[in-house]
Amino acid sequence: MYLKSAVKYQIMDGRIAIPVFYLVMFSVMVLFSISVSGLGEGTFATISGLEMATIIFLFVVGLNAFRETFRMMMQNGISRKTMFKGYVITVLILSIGMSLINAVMLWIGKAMVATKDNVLYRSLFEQLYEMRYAGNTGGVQPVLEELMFMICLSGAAMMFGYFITTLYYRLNKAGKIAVSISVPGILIVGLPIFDAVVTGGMIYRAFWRFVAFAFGLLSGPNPYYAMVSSLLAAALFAVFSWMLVRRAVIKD
Amino acid sequence: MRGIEVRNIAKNYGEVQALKNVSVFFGENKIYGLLGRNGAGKTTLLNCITGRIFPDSGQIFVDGEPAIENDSAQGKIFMMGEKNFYPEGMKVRDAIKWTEEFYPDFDRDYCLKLAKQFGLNQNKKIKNLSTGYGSIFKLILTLSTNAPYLFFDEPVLGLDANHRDMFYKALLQKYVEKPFTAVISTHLIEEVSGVIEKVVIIKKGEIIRNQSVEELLSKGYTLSGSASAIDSFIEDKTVLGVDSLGGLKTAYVIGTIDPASLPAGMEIGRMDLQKLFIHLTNE
Amino acid sequence: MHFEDERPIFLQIAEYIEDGILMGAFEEEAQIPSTTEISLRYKINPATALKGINLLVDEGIVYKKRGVGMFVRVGAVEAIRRKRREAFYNDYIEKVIAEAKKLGLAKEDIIAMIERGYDR
Repeated sequence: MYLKSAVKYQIMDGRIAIPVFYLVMFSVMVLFSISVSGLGEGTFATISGLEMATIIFLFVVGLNAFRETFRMMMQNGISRKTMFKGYVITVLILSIGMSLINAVMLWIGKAMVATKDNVLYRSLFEQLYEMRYAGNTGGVQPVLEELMFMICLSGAAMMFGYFITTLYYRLNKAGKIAVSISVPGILIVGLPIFDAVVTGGMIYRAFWRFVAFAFGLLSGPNPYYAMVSSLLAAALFAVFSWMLVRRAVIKD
Repeated sequence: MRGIEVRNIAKNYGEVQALKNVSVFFGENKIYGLLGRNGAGKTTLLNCITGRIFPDSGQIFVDGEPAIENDSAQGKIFMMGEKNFYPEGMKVRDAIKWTEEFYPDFDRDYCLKLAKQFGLNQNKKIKNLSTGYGSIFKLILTLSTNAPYLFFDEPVLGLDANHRDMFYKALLQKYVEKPFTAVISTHLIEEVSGVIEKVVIIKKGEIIRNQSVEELLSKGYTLSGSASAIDSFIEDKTVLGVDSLGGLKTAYVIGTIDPASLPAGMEIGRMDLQKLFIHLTNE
Repeated sequence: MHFEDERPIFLQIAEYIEDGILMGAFEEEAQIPSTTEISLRYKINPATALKGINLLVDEGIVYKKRGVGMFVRVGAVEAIRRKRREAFYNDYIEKVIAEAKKLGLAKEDIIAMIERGYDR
């Protein structure tokens, strides 16, 4: 009962942003298809990026999903627990829903450029895992696997955004400044310098190896690695977020 | 037992003890005045009950159910706070719609009727409402929820005299038709003194009075007369404060007194809630 | 009626209704305003209004018709007059004398004033 209302509220929160996002994406797609249709023989173009845009969009949705919602829930007698459960369900619904829409958009995009041999419409998934489906591109399996891959990745992105925003909410001013300076400082400046000077690029290589491993690029490639990794990441961020939300209080 | 029971709650902000071991009971279908000076802990207490903040220790029950992080207990309370808790871009109309979602007993027709009566523009964004209309918006929502426990934190902030009058009437009308528990937190005592039945006075995080208005008023009186006569008469009495003007003195006294025992030339008077409050909460 | 008066509000409510009865606004066997009406009119808690009316019930000035409301009892005017006459000395005369003494007015002065005012 309360949970249903909490989910409804959090989904309705995106009732403007999501349509706008797709409107922009669709316009870009159409414009691109038109502009590349004039390309002469011998020039090739690849259209992609809808998936990355969606992942980033959902990350931003996660970033904006806490403060105002929390205040609204407190005003209306909804507990932190119910609000958080509601967010997890919202993540599920948006991840599945937007991944489905993406699949349809991809299909439309491909249909639009189908008659042109020099224009290719490819998804992120296809670029990463094309080796897996060599000679088997028409079946249901790639579509299903891509869908699952996108759902898991979207969920992880939304949970990551939520984790960051709840972390910032809970930190005091000094903590916010400390995190804002130290995290990018270490990741963008400190670590690369340390890596270049002391470890001779080992960390950099290990990092990309880890990413490749987590996405299953070292094993096949196998998208199920990516799905499991994303789910693990989502679960981890969910646990951290809950620990932060559990004792969050209204600040004026 | 029906009611909101606050048991031994304490809340500290660093060195400041906002609430010190507060226990209080808000019974069913009564109108309470939660009175205290600015910073006495009124809002902190209400925020603890509504789960907006956590007390450091103690327990809170709504109709016998633990209140903290409990949807069904919190679903019985609606609090209009001084602060706006609605999202930045939300319109009045949407806030009404969502309150209806979270409070199933919400009376939409009544809400729209009040909105019309007060001239509240539903198409406005909440953040763009004036202070007065911001209060009116929250008052209307609160009265429309039909929740059994309604908290009003400084309800008449920014309201002009007509609107204040309309608010008290709407509150009483609703209360007569479908009784509820109201807790009105305010430092504007004169206006609510007739409306409230019970009074809870909070001073520096402690509850110093919790009784019916009448009982409280029957225990306070003023004595006026010449300074020397007053001084000797009040020696053995609980004196809240004195005002003097030249040789004349007025003492504010707690207790009961037999008017016949009064020395000649001394006058006895009753204290109203406002005066009593001022003297009770004086430093 | 303004509650700037320092006496308890319920007493003032009872007195207001008594005044209404004395002045003929509420005749004997006529209905008096309900608790709700009084509560809304004067912005007071219904419990206070009820207490005021109950005081009149106890004194036999009004009575309850179940499901209808409160009505003025026959003989209420007389009853109120009798009660107020008894209180007249305490409520008014004592105060007049106290004030007169403060001002140094003699007994004869007060009586003269009363005669002047009463016959006007």
